Amino acid sequence: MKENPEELLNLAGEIGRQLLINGAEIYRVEDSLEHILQAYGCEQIEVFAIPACIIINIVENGVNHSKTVRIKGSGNNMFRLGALNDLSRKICREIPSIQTAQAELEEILQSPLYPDIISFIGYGAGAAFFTLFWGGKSLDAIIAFCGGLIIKPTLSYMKEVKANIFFTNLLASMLSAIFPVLLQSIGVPMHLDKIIIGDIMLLVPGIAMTNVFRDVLSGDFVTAVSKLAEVLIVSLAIAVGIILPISATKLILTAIG
Amino acid sequence: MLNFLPCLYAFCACIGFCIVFEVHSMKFILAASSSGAAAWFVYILLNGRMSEAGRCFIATLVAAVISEILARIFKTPATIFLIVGIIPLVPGGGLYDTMDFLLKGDTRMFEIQGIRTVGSAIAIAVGCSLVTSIVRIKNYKKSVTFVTDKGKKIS
Repeated sequence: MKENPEELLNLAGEIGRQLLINGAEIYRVEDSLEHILQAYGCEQIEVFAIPACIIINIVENGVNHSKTVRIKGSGNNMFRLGALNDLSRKICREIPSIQTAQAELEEILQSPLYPDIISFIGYGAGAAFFTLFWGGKSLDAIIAFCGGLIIKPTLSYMKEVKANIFFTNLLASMLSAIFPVLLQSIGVPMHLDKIIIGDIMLLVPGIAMTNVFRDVLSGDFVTAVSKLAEVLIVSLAIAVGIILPISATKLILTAIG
Repeated sequence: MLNFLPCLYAFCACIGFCIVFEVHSMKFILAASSSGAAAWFVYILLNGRMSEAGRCFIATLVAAVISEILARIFKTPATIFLIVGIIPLVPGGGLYDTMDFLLKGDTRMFEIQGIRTVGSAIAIAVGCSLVTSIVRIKNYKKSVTFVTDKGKKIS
């Protein structure tokens, strides 16, 4: 091995961290890191990844070098995931110097994501079309679109202030539900349930729920259990967030009338 | 006569989700959304012929095979197409209903809805894993032949 093992571990750790927080599966993280370290000529590579951390260990001339990366929070960013995957393939194929690889990693992280306005439309369209998909009418879709527009800044803001996932999802679902609940209480003809299902499709961990069982089937039980806990707590938060405005309006209406 | 309009809605909803998931290339967005629409098309076709979990399973198989083919064509991880492709199928609404029944204190409906949701999730997961595992075994064999041919493992 001609590269400095510590620098190599830093590179591998950073690639692993970015893969994981941008939504890569556990096996992809472990496989990619193993291949990268193999490409640089490491032997006895041990990589262990769970959603919360990655542990990498390599042996050079009988000396152990290891690195632990702690990971907090993750999302789905397919653009970065694809780019990181390309980068790790490129590293295996061309074996560039660590500095070059690091520069390319930086470049991926610097490249622009969608501007806010397009993001807003994406969230709104996702909610609106799922409302139609589950049988809502066009008026319902328009209201759901507004709900989607509320969810996006809420999620970004809560991520910025590092709120936990329970509170984040509770607030996002509550804010998206208040507006349609109020409209219904003043007698607008619409289907509240369809609107709410459309809006919360942006939040519910359906994909995560499916991934839990995919992890079980591929043998990553620790991952599966920790993700299952997340799925349950997030769906509970969403349900609480939706129930709160509905029951509050009912209470107020009965108190008035 | 079955109503195929939801396929169009699924396609459009998938485009929205592609933006949420930061899929940047236009051809990826269209390809991934088509795989979602195709999955829902199969789901509708099987209406009344199978249990809900069975329909989810077959529809997921279709989405997963399409995703793997697209991944080969565009040289990118299949996950991009798979995640978007199964969005119309994933039991998001069911998961919400389950928790809703729990909060309302309707334990009987909570059980029924919970089991249905878990069943669909397992069906989708088995469908994904089946296709992914077969592809991985095939790829692994390829990388083993690399080792024996050149004496050095290249992935």
